[in-house]
Amino acid sequence: MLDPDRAQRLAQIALEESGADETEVCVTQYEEELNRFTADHPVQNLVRRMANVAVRVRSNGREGKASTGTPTEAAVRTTVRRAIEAARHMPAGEFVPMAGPQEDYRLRRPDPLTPDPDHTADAVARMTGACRDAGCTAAGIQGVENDLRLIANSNGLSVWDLDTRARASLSVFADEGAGWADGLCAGRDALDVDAIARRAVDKALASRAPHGVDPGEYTVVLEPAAVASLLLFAAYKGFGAQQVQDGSSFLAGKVGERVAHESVSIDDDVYNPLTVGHVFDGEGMPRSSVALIEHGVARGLVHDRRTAQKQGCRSTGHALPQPNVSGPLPANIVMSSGAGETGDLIKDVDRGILITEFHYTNMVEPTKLTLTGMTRNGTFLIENGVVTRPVKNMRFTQSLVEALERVSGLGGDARLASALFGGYTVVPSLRVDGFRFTSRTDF
Amino acid sequence: MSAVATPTETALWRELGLRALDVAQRGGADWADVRLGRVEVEEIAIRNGRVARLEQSEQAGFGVRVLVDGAHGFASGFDVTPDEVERVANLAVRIAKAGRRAGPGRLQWAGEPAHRDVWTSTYLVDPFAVSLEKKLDLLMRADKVLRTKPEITATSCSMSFRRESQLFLSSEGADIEQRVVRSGAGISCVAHTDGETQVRSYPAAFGGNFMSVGYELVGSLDLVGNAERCRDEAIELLSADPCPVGETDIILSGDQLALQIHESVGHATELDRVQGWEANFAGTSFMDTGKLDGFRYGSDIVNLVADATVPGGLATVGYDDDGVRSQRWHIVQDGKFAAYQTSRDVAHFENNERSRGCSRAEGMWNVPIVRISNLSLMPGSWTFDDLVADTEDGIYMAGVKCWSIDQQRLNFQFTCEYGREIKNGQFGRLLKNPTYQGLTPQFWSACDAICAPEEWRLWGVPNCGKGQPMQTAEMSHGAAPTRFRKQAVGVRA
Repeated sequence: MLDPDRAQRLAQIALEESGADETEVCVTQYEEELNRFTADHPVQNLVRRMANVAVRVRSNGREGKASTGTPTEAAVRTTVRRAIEAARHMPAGEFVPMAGPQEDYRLRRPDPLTPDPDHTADAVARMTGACRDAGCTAAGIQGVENDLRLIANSNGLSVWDLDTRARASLSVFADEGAGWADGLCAGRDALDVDAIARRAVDKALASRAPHGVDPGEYTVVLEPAAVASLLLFAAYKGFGAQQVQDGSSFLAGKVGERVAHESVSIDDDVYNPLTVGHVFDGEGMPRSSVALIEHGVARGLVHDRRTAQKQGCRSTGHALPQPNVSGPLPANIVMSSGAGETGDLIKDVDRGILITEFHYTNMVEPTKLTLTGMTRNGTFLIENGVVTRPVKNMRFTQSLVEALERVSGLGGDARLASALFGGYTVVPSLRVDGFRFTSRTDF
Repeated sequence: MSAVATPTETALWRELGLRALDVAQRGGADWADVRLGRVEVEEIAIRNGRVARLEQSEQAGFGVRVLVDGAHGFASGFDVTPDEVERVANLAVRIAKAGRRAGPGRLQWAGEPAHRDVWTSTYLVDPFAVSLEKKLDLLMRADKVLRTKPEITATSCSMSFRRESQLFLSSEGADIEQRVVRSGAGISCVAHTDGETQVRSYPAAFGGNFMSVGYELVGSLDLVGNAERCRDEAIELLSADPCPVGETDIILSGDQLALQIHESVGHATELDRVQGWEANFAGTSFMDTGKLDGFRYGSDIVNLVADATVPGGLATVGYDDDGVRSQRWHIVQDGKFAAYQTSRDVAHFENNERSRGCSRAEGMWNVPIVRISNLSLMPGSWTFDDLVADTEDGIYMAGVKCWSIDQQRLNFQFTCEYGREIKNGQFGRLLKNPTYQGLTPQFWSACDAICAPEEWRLWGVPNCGKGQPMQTAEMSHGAAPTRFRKQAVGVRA
């Protein structure tokens, strides 16, 4: 199914079929295997496949686009004609020319992760068995993904890549306690489901019988998953050149200025060995590594070809498929690490909160990146440098800009983390002073 | 766009679908169903006077679901050919059998007659027959009005149309053809000045309103005619006072209340969540099955009705993706919890022999899961003017801006686009970032006045995310402006 030759044939057919001034073809093939389980038994086991061929054409200063999920020669030819017809009805506009051939791809093209339901079920059994042995119940997923993408255009650009991901995510429940751990990597062999189960079980057992604490300002130690769910908002709302150019980013007018504690450095770097993702963007441009914040100072932004032309620089390879409303966005946030374990961040805290994960984080206000969300799956009180007891979950409402200014420690435990509703970051644990909790819940 | 599925195409789907069922049953499936179909989408967005999005996509495919000794297997494909259908059906059985290595299959399947029917949603004007020029012209005119003042730094005017054709076949003999057309449109603008950014949208945030109707929805919204007010309110909000911190009465607009219903009632009463099936992703629910015994969800005037038959609802279908005929039932009746939203595989947890018909999948390539139905707060008898006049000290809040709720659907916090202080029954100063926070049962118990049917309308949620892998589903929530007494407002951030 993951067939780059078929993708290339379809792209060639589309380019030949189109008589437009410029034509771009993007072919994707996606396959996912997933075992979803709860209360120690599987509830959804699946393998799903999808494909898409998107054709973008420009004729006489007008642009049209159409796509099909049927990757056949006939469907692709029809799709090209639909794109040309759409262009005929569009208003004339000024466009940045499509890119020509690119030389500096650092392609990875790993072997696909072939779905293996027996292997996946066995891995699930090991996780649920560990939970059962500890007197806990489990819910989670285990699976693999293969994502083949090809982009070619009439200016001679042509590139394809395969992104593979193996993933396990486990939530564990014991009495009123909850714990969670996950693993995400490019290959199945690197996924240690036994270690994931141990982490989640330990967390659940430690968080039994939580008590409430009063909302207010605390020093917090955020584990990587919690850090990731905050930083993703900076990625979506701050580091893209379009948002800075239109003034909606918290970095508007601040590039070159101090915007975070000097210990904070953030890059976008798809080549970090821990991360996953394609090495070219939605226009086929190779992704560059971009320093976004360097020792607390705002440095660079991510660009597509349109924002780069406006600013007089080269695209950094962060375009979404064109055209789009959002403009260029970071795809692989990497935050610099400190040294030591999470415990090293805790030992200097007189009274604070250790947070495993945030839930349903959302943005209240964009200029200060004020965010709100709930703690989840293991929240603990820190007293005199040690974790003393589990606490009930609380809601935070906190400016991320101010939180980055108040970073007082970084762990050496950087890992690939994801957050509710997607996105990937490589981040360490983080200690932040004066983090504001505004209400609490009943569990 | 290509035409909706033709009789020839449907006949091919039926032939291939029956082959899939035969393969699955010969492989050992106790139950099998197959969905074959096509989804067509057109999305257009104008940003700052430029076409920033144009999607004209069509996706065909199929998905085969089986049960083997209570174990679940699902596989999907996009090559709608005999060989591929056979391969995918065999794979679904293999997946189900392999799944038993991880634990016993425990799925139970509620009964339902094997319906044989053709069902089509109703619309006046086929949106796919309306020219791109006409759509773009309307959006460009609205965008132009929004951009006539320099404080506006970003605009977004969009339309979205979706047409789905599907054939459902089951090993019990069900044969259901369905066609659904959905439409949506809206405008939004961002006003910006030093250190302050505000947004205002019409008729609702995040793309506008969406319904299972045709292009007539767009005409009814009068996007151009409402652009000036939308623009000016965004600019006025730049200099508005912040929402005060304290406790006061709030009146929520229909569009904001729709999201409140969605988050604090809709997801909380999905029985798969209650059973922990969603525990590793979107969460569980405080509404455990012990609360079926008349749990007090809200005040006596709170009646929340799920209705997959309501005209124009985004979740309105003839049958769900389990082949269950659509229904209407109370989730909350006179303030007391009455029933869950269920699929055929969780209905028994409610001691119900029949599913409520809430099983839906995003396209043929995803597995059906429990989704919120059209879920509405039934109207009361107040006029909006009388409701404001009856409020001594309060805030009117409108327009969804930010939402967040805990994983058991108890603690929520919402921020709206637009707030207006109410003092002694009169509107007062404008308030920016109006925020309220509460706990679900206490919040609904504080509901004391609901506006009349004349103020009630359906608000569409086109992008509800749930499941692993995550799927997007659509549903509507009917709501009228409603008052809640003594709520915590504002936030010290």
